Amino acid sequence: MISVTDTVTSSVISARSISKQYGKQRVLDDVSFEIAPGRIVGLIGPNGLGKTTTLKAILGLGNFDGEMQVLGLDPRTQRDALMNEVCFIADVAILPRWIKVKQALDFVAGVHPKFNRAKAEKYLANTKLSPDMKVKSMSKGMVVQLHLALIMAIDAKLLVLDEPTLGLDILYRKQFYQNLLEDYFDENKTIIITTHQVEEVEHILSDVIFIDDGKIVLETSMEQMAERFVEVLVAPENMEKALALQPMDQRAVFGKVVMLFDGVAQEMLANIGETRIPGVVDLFVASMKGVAK
Amino acid sequence: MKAMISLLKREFWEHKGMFLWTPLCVAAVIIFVFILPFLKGHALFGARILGRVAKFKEDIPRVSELLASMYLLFSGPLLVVMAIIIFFYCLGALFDDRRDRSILFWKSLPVSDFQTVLSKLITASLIVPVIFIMCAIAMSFVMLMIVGIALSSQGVYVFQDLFLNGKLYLAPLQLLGTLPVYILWALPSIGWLMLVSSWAHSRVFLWAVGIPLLLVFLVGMLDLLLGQNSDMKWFSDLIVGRALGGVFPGVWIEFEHIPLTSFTRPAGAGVDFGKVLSVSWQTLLSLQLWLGVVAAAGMFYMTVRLRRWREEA
Repeated sequence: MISVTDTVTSSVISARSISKQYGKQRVLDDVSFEIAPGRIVGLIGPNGLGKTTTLKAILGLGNFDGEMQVLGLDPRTQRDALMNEVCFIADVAILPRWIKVKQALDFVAGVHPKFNRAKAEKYLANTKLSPDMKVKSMSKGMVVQLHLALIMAIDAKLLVLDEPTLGLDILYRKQFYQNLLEDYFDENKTIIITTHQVEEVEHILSDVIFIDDGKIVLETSMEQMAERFVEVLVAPENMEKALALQPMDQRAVFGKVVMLFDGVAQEMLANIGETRIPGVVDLFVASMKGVAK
Repeated sequence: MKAMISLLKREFWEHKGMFLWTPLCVAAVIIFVFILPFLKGHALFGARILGRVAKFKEDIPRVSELLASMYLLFSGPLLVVMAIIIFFYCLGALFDDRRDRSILFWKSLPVSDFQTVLSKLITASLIVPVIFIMCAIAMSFVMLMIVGIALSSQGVYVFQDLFLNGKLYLAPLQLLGTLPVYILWALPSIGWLMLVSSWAHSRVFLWAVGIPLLLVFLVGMLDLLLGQNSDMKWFSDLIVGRALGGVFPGVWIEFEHIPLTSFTRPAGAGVDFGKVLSVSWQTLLSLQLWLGVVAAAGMFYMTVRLRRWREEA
């Protein structure tokens, strides 16, 4: 059991004033955030504007300015110890092409103290992968299945997924997240996901962090998000009333106007139209316009 | 330790073609080419040669002594192939997985960069040479047997003397005994090639060969401009030879200017592998050998750091 004080004090990740520059380009600008255990966090933002750099910093793959603690360790100086507790899938194409399924199992079993080989084999038994198959001859979906089998059999505290389903067809993508939720995730684990296909992960996320232009635009749990942000299908007669409440964004859908409100009481909004919880994508788009803070 | 064994296995799996099939195939081809003239037999060996062979009958002990002490010279070509394999293995060792981005998979596992680089160093300096030397010894032995059979067909029966000759069994051990010396002389080259491998974003071969050549060229130009006209050979030996040539077995003969006669026995009785061993071990007294090892240690350190911090664009 995790005591209450533990959950308060022990963030899985605690980042303070992280900055990073490539040459003259500043990709991370004074970024701070905390991630608690047992969460599934979506890191969402446009390409090349800080997401991958943030993940690299968490994983100790690159240097940066600022303070960072991952599971109580500094990823820059204590990376070797950290990797016992952290797993990541960086991209679908990164398993070495020459490796065979059984070699991958042998290798991970040989170097990782927390690898459960039986679990990986059990997972692989449900796929079309055979022990002598080489990555070279696999489809992208199969490579991801192999990678997932390896990762899921490792009892790590933090799993980082950087565009894990890029280039996969829809069947594999759905299955990927389903397996992740059913067979891997529990309250002691934390998952961080970046992806373009926000709609696909939206329902499994417990938190979102929006990053744009090297800065965090919004950091919220889904519950808080549902309380704070409300989308209203505004009835035409209520337009003026609605505008008076200062929506952060508005768009037209089938002739009706949909407005997004930040921190306006639900009861008040219920008077001007049908309310609902906004989608992460809509909220992201609105946030990018720079209104939300 | 368990992790290191897994890392070494990984190198072997990845390069099975280079480390296992190459020596076996090259050995098979050499044996095949070697066998051809014997199969053709009389058509190729003229009466003059056959006449000389027949004379061996009179001195079978000396013939078998020569064969027993010299047969390992057959391994020469295979050891040259070994040097080439080690050269290219080192160039790719820390580059290939950066190019195909599988480095991110390796780095997602709890293996330190020091361990990774060390496993590649052990592979290049110990595992590959041991495999090749074993193959070379086996191949030489097969070729010796072929010669023995060919001689027997002419009535020169050497086998009994041959198998009773201690040198037949000693020479392979003496060849293996030079391995530590080889490793020490090869370290600077292995260190340099792996350093380039972990540093270059592309064209590792050009960088690895180009930098030493350019350095020699520039210093040579400077020397000409200053009108010094000094002896540049030591410098090119140092930069090009030791940075690139160290992977060739026996290269210390060149570095240390050892006369080839140190290896032969008086009265023209051929190469003595005992002398090869002892003269090779004597080079451990050489200062330039140990300076090279120190340089290799420095390059190893830099390689590990690059492996740890190099970010791919």
